[in-house]
Amino acid sequence: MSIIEINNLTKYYGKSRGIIDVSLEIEEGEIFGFIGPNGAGKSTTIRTLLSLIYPTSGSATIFGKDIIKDGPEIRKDIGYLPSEVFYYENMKVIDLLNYSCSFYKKDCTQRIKELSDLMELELNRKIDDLSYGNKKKVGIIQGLVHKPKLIILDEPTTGLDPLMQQRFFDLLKKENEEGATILFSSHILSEVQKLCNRVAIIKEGRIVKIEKIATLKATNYKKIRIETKEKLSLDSFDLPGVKDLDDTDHVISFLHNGDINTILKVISKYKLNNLWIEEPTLEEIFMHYYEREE
Amino acid sequence: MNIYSKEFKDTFKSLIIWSLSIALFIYIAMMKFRGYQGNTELVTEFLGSFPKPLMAALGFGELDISTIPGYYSAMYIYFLMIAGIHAAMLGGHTLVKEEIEKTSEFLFPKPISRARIISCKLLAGLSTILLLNIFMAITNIIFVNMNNEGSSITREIIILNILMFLLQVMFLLLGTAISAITKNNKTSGAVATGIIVSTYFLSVLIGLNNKLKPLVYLTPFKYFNAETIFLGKSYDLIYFIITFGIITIFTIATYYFYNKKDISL
Repeated sequence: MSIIEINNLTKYYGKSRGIIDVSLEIEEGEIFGFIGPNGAGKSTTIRTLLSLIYPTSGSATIFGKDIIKDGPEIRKDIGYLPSEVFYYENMKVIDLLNYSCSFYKKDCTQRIKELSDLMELELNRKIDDLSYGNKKKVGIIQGLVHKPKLIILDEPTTGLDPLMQQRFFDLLKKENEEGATILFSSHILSEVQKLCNRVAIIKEGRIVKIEKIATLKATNYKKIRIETKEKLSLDSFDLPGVKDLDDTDHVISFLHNGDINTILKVISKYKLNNLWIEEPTLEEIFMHYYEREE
Repeated sequence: MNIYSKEFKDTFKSLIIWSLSIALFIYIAMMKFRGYQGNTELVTEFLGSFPKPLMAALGFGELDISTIPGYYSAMYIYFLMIAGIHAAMLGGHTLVKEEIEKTSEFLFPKPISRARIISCKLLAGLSTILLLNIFMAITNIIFVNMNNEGSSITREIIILNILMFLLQVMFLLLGTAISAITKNNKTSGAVATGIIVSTYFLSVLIGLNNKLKPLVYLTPFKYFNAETIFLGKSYDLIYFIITFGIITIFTIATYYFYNKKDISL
């Protein structure tokens, strides 16, 4: 059964574009990635699914029910983590979580304890005094506390340190094994690769591709920059899998797709001042991903 | 009910501040009255030197300002204005504050309908304005009784406060309706307050210029003046009809437009 089915969903804010003709199906038990640069329409899609905003045209169902007509009913089984978390002033973490639970008519005391222990969040602190990362944890717990069947996450990892990120991902995997379907929106490809089964790529409001993650994994671009004392010839790096080769002020930079060992062997021949290996931006990946397609 | 109690708690602090300010206002007004009380002739002479329409426009009517009914009639319009502005600001803020404080992404994904959110918030608002009304009535009754040398006007004060409550409800819904319709969330309270102040000035202008008389239906401040009750007259039915009509329209507008509104980030 499709948990989410989106049909030709279009949203304009006045004249400006939100999303155009978005169609998607997410199956039960999937961890579905939703990826695209900032402003591409990820949040617009999610906010439409949650009836925060209403579509200009098109429709969508969740659990087989219409998102607008049956919104309140559907939302009983949805947990949502917004990309930016803001909460009411003057509330303690525990007050907020209890307030959140009161909407689901479930006793969540045990689950609040479990989740806050796991995420190492103190329940008696005032939310106003928390760091951004800790506020995000409040958001995570708030989104999962009622054991939703569908978990919608909008850029969930910003602000979390790597250790917490890992715990959070493990938690999501566990929820998924216990039957939850997950929609995971992000602009960081590696994150989505780690977790998701399938991914939809959205660009300028339109879905450009829906792909199995296995296929995307074939592209493993890394952005590499090396700084050397002496000027090197660019030719030594003109290897298969290397793109965008550039040289400015003794810094050579390029994108590499392929076995990381091959390129490290080449680099190790030189005396370096500095070395950076980074995730390329999504735009950089897409540029080459689609180049290959065409 | 969880939204109701949260909402009520949120506005409680400001309710106390409003109440204390009103008590202070009533106290100062009462002090002034006591000044008049001792100097009836002087005051009457002084006020008599102003043109009658101007006095009427400012709320001084046929009743003698140095008597308690006269004093209360003159003050009543200001009580109305204060309670009205409070209600309108509350109404203009209550629905949109989730967007202003960016808590909308917490509240709206919960399994509740927009209509229910509106109902809870309206109920909380109604409770708040009712409490303010009761507080105002009690404060007035206490101060009036402390200084009243004539017959008691407690009954009149209570009736006038019930009428005031009708207008408070109207102004609360004016605020919610404006905030449901406009896209600019931050200004809705100010717009509602602006409308109230404008209708007050319209009522002053109507007092000054008889040709404007047909406009009385546009200003709630002309619907239920205090003098009518002290002179033993009754209010026109038409004003009740208009009041309930406007309340109905604002209620429908609030639910209809807020239900369709895109919640902004």
